[in-house]
Amino acid sequence: MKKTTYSTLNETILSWQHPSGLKVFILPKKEYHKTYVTLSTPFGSNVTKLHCEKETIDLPEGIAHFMEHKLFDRNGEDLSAQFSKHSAQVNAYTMNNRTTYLFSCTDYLWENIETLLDMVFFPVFSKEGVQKEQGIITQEILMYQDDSVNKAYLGLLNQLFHTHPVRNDILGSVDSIKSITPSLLAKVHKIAYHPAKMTLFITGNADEGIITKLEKFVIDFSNETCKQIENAEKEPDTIVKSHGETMMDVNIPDVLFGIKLPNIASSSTLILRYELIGSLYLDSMLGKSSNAYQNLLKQGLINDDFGANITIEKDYAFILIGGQTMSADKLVQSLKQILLSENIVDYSKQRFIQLKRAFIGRFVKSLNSLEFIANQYPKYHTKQHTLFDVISITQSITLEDLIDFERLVKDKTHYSSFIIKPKTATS
Amino acid sequence: MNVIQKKTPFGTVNLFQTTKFKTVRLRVTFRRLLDEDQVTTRGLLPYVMQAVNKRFKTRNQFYARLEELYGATLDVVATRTGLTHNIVFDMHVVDQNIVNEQTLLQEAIELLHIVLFEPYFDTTILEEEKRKVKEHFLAIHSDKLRYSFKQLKDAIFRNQIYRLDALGKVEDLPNITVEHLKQAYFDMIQNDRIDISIVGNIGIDSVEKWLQKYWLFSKRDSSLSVIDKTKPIVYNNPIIEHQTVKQAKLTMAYSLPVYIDQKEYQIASVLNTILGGSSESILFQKLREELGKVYFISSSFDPMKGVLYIYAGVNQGDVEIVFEEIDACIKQLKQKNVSDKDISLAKKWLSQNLVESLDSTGSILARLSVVDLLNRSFDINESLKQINGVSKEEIQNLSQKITPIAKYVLKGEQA
Repeated sequence: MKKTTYSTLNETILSWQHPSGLKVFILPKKEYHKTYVTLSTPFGSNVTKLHCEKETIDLPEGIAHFMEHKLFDRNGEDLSAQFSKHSAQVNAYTMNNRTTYLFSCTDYLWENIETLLDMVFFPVFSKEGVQKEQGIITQEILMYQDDSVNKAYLGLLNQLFHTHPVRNDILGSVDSIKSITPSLLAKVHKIAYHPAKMTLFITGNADEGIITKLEKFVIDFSNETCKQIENAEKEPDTIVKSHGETMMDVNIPDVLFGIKLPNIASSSTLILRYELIGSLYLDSMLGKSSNAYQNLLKQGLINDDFGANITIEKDYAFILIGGQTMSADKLVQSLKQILLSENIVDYSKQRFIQLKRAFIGRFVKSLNSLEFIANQYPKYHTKQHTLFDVISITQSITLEDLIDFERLVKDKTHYSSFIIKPKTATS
Repeated sequence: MNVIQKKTPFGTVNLFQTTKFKTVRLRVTFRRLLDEDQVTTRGLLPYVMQAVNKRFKTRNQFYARLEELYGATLDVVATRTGLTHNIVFDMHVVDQNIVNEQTLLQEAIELLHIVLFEPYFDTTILEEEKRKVKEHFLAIHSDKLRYSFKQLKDAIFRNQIYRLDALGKVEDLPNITVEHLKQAYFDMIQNDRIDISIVGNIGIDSVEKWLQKYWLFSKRDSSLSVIDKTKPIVYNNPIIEHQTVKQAKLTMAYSLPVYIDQKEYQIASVLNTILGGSSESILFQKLREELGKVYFISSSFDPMKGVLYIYAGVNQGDVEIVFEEIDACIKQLKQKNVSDKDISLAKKWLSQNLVESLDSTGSILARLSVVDLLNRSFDINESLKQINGVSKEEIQNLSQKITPIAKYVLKGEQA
């Protein structure tokens, strides 16, 4: 077991590897009443194929999310009840690059960890269970089709990416989930849920004593020989389309503006650094204290719904900017002008220090949340750094880093916008 | 963890002392009874006060100051708790020892003081904030569940003050002037009940000093009634509305005449949890897990009005059957078919939520707000005792009092 202390933040994290290969992290916070636990696999909606020695398995869209739902079912019994019995609340979510199972409890920590490990590593898939889930997930798909924000997001990603599966709905489609069978789920589970790929994170009211119990828990998986394929075809650098729109039953339009970035973070180590540089750049250009933000507000183009964020992964990266507005077309034009303007960002030293202070403060605040730590830590853990290095990495970022980053957002051929307009157009 | 509650001539001051958080959070809440003539002006007031003041006359300057204070946030919001209208100023700042800035908290408190006592009411800012409020109301239409809830409440609380949004009424906005805001501001400072809560690693001596230096409010009447026992309007037939939606939304209201200041309140909480308050509830297990008819179904209880709500997202073709199954679940409750296991799970769920709420600054502040309004002490153990003391018989007796008020359905457009 390895112990790492971050004295500035007053945090000590314990790391250990289970005999199965499962990575285990414990961040004790004794003053908290609850313990929050996540178990995550890097199997998300972006995985489209599994390649083994003699076989390539093509995966239907939505299978990662479908698997997430089905792991709660054990021969018709909803395993949530096992957690409730032990004063725990369980949940799970599927992202493009990860599926995470989680619970929080105020008692029976080990019993709940056992239930979680048993649920995730030893599933039972039945024909009846799969059929019932197809009905439930169809409802979920329909629900999101009524959601204008989700529709704008998927619409835009389809315009930014030609082939990369990030353009697909994590839930899949009503048709694609029909082809999911119990045997396919079992086959995929053996590969995608191999413990050697997964991370167990425990934080809150817990200590290293839990490792003694984990050592005795047997997770018997065969040797891992398969690999996940996220994008079989090479994604072109270009975008698909610069603008799109659709009409929905809304009273105020939704605008989403995207910039497709080149693959700047070729390794996991670089992802965190570039995310921080990109976020600082967006704060400086469009944060609430920026001139551009205040001008948009004065012109009546944005409200408190407006925001900007950056996504960086090893094989794709993009920026999203947008929100609800009564003047959708005008907002798109204004965003383009802002992005292409020279000297739009105040690169004075004083402003840079102020932005970095704000960024560090926001990060420290987020560490009040066990949920934030447990959900973010696995993503950023590499040999070189962890989530707790955000402060030192932020401090090491220079003005030149921001200026270099700015060049990436100046190529207007990588801009795309998507607008949801009211059925009776008012914009 | 230590909780100190101090009564003052203007309201309550709470200090939740703890070293577990990496921040200090300080909330000042101005409260008065909801007033239909004033609600929109008061709803705008905190947003205008947050934007600019006499020291920071542009929004950029004010946000830049917050950034200098290590990203301190000053969130404001107008909220309602039953019949009270609350204006909340919430300062959240990083523990100064972590970032090694020994005057950080003092500077944040001074900034909050400027916002509260040196407001600058400007027509341009007022018009911008009016536009934002107008767009907020327009945006409700985009969120179909929220919209459905609003439609249901508008129908059952028609002509009642309880229907009002904390931001008021969109039709009032054009007539509100800077003069109205000024009047509302002075009225708030001079007459509102004021509750102040601090969560973090702070000593009581610091709070006493701040009270002497920054929060010298005059004596005022601090009694407020939050509960509204006016009966909602009952509808015998479902209210049906059509829009272009793929999934139908059902929202239902039932009368459950129990209020937060009564001892039956915890019985109603357990009853609600059994019915639809958790993933182990009767409704969720039946409608989603057994029948697979819904993606979500849940219930909530408003103890300020004695109304129980049920809401669900449903396949268009299954609306009728879901209504029937919900009725059957309520009948099951009334016919005393609730198992000991259901009751035990519900109590565990509520107890866990209560204990976990002590791990979040926001939840602690929300809980302090309710105990302030009820003039009670902050006592989690007493609440846990009350939850665990609820009997099967009490739940079954109370369930007899559930009566339908209205059903609202948002469906796809007719062919």
